[in-house]
Amino acid sequence: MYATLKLGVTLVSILVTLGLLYPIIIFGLEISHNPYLLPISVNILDYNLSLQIVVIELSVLYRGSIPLNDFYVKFLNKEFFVGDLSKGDKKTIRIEIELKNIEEIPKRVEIEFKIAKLYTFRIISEGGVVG
Amino acid sequence: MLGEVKRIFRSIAVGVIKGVVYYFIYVVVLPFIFITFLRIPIDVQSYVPYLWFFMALNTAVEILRKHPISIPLNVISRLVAVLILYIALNCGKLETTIYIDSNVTQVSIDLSLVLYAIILFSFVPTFVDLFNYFSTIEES
Repeated sequence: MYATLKLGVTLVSILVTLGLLYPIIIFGLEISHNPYLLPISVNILDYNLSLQIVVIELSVLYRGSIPLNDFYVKFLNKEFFVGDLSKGDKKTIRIEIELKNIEEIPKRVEIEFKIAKLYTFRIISEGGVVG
Repeated sequence: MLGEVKRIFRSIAVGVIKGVVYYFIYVVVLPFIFITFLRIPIDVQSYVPYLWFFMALNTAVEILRKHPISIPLNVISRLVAVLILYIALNCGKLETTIYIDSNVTQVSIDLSLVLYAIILFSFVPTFVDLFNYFSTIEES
């Protein structure tokens, strides 16, 4: 009886662990096979010299099969919420930032999201936007 | 007497085989998965000494399987396994540096959830063994 119980709980444990690992394994495989799984592009739409305001358009396209949640882009010590992304989703946000000089556009960009609401994934690029 | 010696040798063999399997999982399979699929390096050298201790404990558990001391030894062995996993996965927080178009990019992932699940599940068979052991004592 105990041997059966032990086998049963072990099998359940293995299945639950595999279920938990599934999204991260699939995401890892997809990103290693396709470096353009999650391209992010930034376009400067407008630069108002008198007001010293830059209007930026940030686009995120997702081609993977595992949903990504709570997608954030951080730069200039500010967080910009993109939202949840599923396969084929493209989200664009407009950001207005105050800059004294266009050369001041930050090189450090931080991207953070959750893989299937389970695992926090963070990318910090020191040389501009990753894509 | 000869039967007992045979049993001890068989237990040592089982313990060593189990140890080799665990060694293979922790030193070969685990780093391979993380390096190949996630491109996150695992510092194998940081936990190899614990692995030898774990293998020795496993062999002791096999030899003393019928003795009650095997239960606490088994618990210690599970704790060491958990410690190895905890060190190997850097407390569940893995990070690496990659270069994209010559830009330095830091990538990090928090695997705490699955790590804690594995830790919890690794103790489940031991709990069943303990329950079995205490039930046997009560019955006798």
